[in-house]
Amino acid sequence: MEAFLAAQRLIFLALLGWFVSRVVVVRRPAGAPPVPRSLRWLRSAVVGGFLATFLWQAWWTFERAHSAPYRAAERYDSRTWRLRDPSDRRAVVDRWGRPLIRTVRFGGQAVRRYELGPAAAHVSGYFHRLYGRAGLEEACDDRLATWRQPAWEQLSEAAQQAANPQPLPLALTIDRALQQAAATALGSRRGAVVVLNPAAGDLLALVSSPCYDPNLVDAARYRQWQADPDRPLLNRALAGLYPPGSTFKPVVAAAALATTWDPATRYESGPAGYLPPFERQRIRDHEAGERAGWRGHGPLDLRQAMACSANTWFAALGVALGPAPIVRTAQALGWQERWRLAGRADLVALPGRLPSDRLRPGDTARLAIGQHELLITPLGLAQVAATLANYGRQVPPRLLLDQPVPAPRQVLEAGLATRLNSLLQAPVADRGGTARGLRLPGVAVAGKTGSAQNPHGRAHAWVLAYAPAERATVVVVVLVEQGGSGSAAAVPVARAVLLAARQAGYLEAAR
Amino acid sequence: MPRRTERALLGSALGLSLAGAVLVAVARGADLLALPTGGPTLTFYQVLGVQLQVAAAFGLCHALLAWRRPRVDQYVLPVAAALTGLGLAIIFSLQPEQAARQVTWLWLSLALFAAVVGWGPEPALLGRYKYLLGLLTAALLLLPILVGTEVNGARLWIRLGSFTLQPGELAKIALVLFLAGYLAEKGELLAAEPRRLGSVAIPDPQLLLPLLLLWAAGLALLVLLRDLGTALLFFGTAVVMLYLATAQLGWLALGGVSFAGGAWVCGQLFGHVRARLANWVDPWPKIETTGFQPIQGMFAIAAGGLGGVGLGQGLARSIPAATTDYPFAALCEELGLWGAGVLLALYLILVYRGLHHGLRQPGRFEALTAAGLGCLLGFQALVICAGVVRLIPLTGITLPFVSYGGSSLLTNYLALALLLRCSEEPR
Repeated sequence: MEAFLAAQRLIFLALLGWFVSRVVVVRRPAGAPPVPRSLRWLRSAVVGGFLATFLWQAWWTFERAHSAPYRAAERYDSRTWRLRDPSDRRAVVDRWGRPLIRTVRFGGQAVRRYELGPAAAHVSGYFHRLYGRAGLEEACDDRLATWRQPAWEQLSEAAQQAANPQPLPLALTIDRALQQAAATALGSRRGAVVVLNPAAGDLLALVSSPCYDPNLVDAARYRQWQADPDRPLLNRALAGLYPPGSTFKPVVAAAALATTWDPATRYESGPAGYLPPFERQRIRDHEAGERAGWRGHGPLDLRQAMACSANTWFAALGVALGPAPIVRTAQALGWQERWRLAGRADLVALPGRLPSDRLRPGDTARLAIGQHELLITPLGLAQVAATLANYGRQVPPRLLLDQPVPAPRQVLEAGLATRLNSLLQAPVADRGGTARGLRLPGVAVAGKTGSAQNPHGRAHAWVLAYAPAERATVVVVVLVEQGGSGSAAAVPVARAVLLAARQAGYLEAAR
Repeated sequence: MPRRTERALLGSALGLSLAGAVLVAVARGADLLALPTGGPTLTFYQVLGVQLQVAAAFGLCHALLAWRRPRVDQYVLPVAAALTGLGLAIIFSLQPEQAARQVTWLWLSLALFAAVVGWGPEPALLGRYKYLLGLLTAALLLLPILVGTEVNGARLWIRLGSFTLQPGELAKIALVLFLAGYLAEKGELLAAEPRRLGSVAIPDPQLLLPLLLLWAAGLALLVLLRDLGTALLFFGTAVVMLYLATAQLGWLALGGVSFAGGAWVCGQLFGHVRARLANWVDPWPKIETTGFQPIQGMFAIAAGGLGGVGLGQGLARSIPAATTDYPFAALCEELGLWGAGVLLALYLILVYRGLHHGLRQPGRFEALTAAGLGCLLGFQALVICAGVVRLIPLTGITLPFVSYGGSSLLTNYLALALLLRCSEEPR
């Protein structure tokens, strides 16, 4: 069929030319009068007009089609997907050269094959003639598409092959094994997993669930995905904004340590909870609701409060600090940054939301426990965690291996960051810590859980973790939508990812 | 055997037309990934049926010519058939349901063609009513202003029940007939003793007055109609006919200058025309609004390349009004530069045939009519094609014989019939 379609084109064009040649060749009769001068002038003018139109068109076809305004306006051209035959599209590999996307021939047609399928759907995205592109296929389209030669060189397929040798694959910072492990660990639950290397900003894995299979994009499935209330087409890691809950407490601690607040201060954490000034509603610890007859933690210092994630304690601290330093610290840690993984559009994280820095004490108390108009994407929180793990040096995330690593920006004072680092080991290492499930033999892990209340039902389960704690090579952030408690729902996922990272050699690398 | 050339050429043209339509149907059938919002399509047999109807209609016309008018031009009808066939293939590709309607219009057009060629009055008789034709031109142009509907800022259409007609199309033919009649009578006088202003010859103002009046009236009407394309066409044709009748270059110069002046005035006066001029110079910043159509057209042309993407495989449906204003861009995409060159050559042949007959008996009404009509059809194609490739500002007129549209097809075949009558060789 393809051969026929190719041949018929040329045959029809030849027939057209033959027809015109038959009409054009009109012999002048022998005795005809000579063409007068006036008519010759006129004929030349008319022929000139037609010729000018033809030449202008030829010029546009071959030259202007490669001009800057044309390229800029190209996304308005529905042919873009068609002309960019996937057979010419570059393959994509992970950081060790293992294939992520290949172009294969299937039934005489070139199709994109996504090696990890749904497990990496929200990184790779999809490439489809009718449904367009998403994810990496969209964001890095200009690097993945190889442009065909100008039209006149298309005549010879072989010549074109010689002119355009198979292009090198595009290498991502993703680790294929880790990506697969993260997707498996999260399973079918709604949520997201982000794994980063904090020193270089390398994105090692990015999972959003539920997902779709980019190998199976077609009309029926696409409609089904669009209509699905769980929204599998949504990349939760970049475009999902969630209240951070207790995972915000390290930011509050950083804010406190940066002020003149005395780190030796103890606040009482009792079963009655904490009543902010001018408020009626008490803020309670999560144990108060879970265990009957719970007697409270008693007076706690910062490390103990961090370990057991005491809401009452942090609410009191927040009210003592006021909202301004907390909001300022969050801003400094890149809370509202629009992190750009690669290219344009699709692989850009939404900026987090922060309340204003003028709040009533009650709202300040809720801000200090990660609620009240406070929202962040899983990638945004991973960036905050990476900055903490990196001793206050902020490195923007990257997805392409050939993207230069920008110079880190020191956003937290180094001494403060060191204290925070040891503080964040408390929930994992200390007795009664909420993140004790993250302990790994032989590796110090830092982490903080969160259970964020939200208007949709059960709390969102969060955990942020990094290891090895003193010199982190891997940062993991897990979100399970409405998973309940962070310790119960998110920590096992993060632990599985950390185990996979250790198996892949990431945790030993720093030693 | 009479009209062997025509028979052979017509056979080839109809073969091309059939092949084109079948290729569209095959490509569409094979194209599993056709756009989901492609609209209704025709089955393969419906396409075949349409093409057989076309072949039958043109075959009948050929038989009629062989019977009633064996000595008229033999090249014009096959060229028109080839253009119509190409047009149908393009319309099949763009809007299949319109192709079926276009065939109905083709039957009507060819019936009119047959009536005029076979049993119409002697052309010379028409020449006697030249002033009436002049009035008719004005009346036809005025009609839509009085009872017309406005489409895209131009008042060109009148609505009759479910049909919309464009009287301006008919006015073009009336104008050619009027000019031919007038110039056949006064042409020699216009050329005889010109006054000279430097090297430019200026004819006697008394002879010029009726013509100037018509020009002024025409320009005024076109300003009211706000259609630059029709204005360009009218002036071009009138200037060429004057030039043919008098053989003086001064007319070409005068025509060019007066049209440029008229266009400038139009550009100053009307936002509609000014927007088109701005669109011509740089449509890219307005890609989502007024620049959308021309840029989609440019995309289509660029996609075509040298040999096109193949019939039925283009995506020119994305161009607004593709079947009426932009079939040239669609053709460029599907048949490439080569196909576009063939199309332009076919129109050039029409002009050449018209001029050829205009040459035979210079100054006679029939000769002037033939030349005028040939130029009219060719120039109309040139104006829209040059507009689509952005050589000149775009004007919304149809591509003769190719565009979808009833009144356009009817008047084009009427012009063709008159051209053929005027091309009859003396016994």
